[in-house]
Amino acid sequence: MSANENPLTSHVLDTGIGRPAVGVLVTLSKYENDQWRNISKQLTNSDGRVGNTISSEEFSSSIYKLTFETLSYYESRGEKTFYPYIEVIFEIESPEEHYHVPILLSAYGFSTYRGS
Amino acid sequence: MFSPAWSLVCFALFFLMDHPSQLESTEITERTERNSSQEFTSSVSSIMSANENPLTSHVLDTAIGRPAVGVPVTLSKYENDQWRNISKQLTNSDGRVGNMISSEEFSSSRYKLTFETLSYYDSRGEKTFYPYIEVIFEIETPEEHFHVPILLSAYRFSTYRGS
Repeated sequence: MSANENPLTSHVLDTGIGRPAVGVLVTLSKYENDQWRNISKQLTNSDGRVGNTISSEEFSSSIYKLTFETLSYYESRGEKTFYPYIEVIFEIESPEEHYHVPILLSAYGFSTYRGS
Repeated sequence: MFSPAWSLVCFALFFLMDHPSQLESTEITERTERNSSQEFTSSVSSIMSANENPLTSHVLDTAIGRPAVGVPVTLSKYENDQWRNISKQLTNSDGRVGNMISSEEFSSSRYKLTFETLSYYDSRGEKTFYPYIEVIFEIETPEEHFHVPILLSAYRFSTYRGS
């Protein structure tokens, strides 16, 4: 029953330096009643990860958004970036599964995928 | 037979045929100056129109190794604390969109490209993780060209500042 206790995780890797991106503010929002509702907000840890973004009870089939505050991350490093923030909007249809939604990040490019 | 007067007439005729009159010289000079001025003007115009299409995009469907055709792409600009739609187009047969914004409107600002990926995958009878993709980026040097493409697949995408 606790198999999906941590149903949605994320990870930010700074590919420009080949290291986790530490201290990136990550907000999870859920689309309900035609608007976005904030669920949680955390900083990536020393491994660039965020977990426990949402409880399994709340994690239902819906559209979600992860927002990564990349501008403040690069500013704290004294660097510029093309992306003031990054949003990844995704649809969950199997909330009994685990979803990992990471970002491979650099100042002028990023990628994301459904991971595991 | 060749009296001095006749020689003088011949010489005068010869001179007139081979050498332009003072008036003609002026006209030629003016024409040359005008041509140079026109060349200069068209060089300046070509430099000024170099950023006529300052922002372009491209969607490549990496799962099939082909351009993603017919993806609706919306460009918005952040002004007065809100997003204002600038243009909406479908990607063409090469997966590209151009002429999204004029050079006059393309100022230093924050912009957003929204790619309606769900409708693209729906039209192909496929599922996707991403109902739509938004790329928010900051322009600080609007005199440069910016290419903001997406490499797309159903469960992954990437984007970068291209050329």
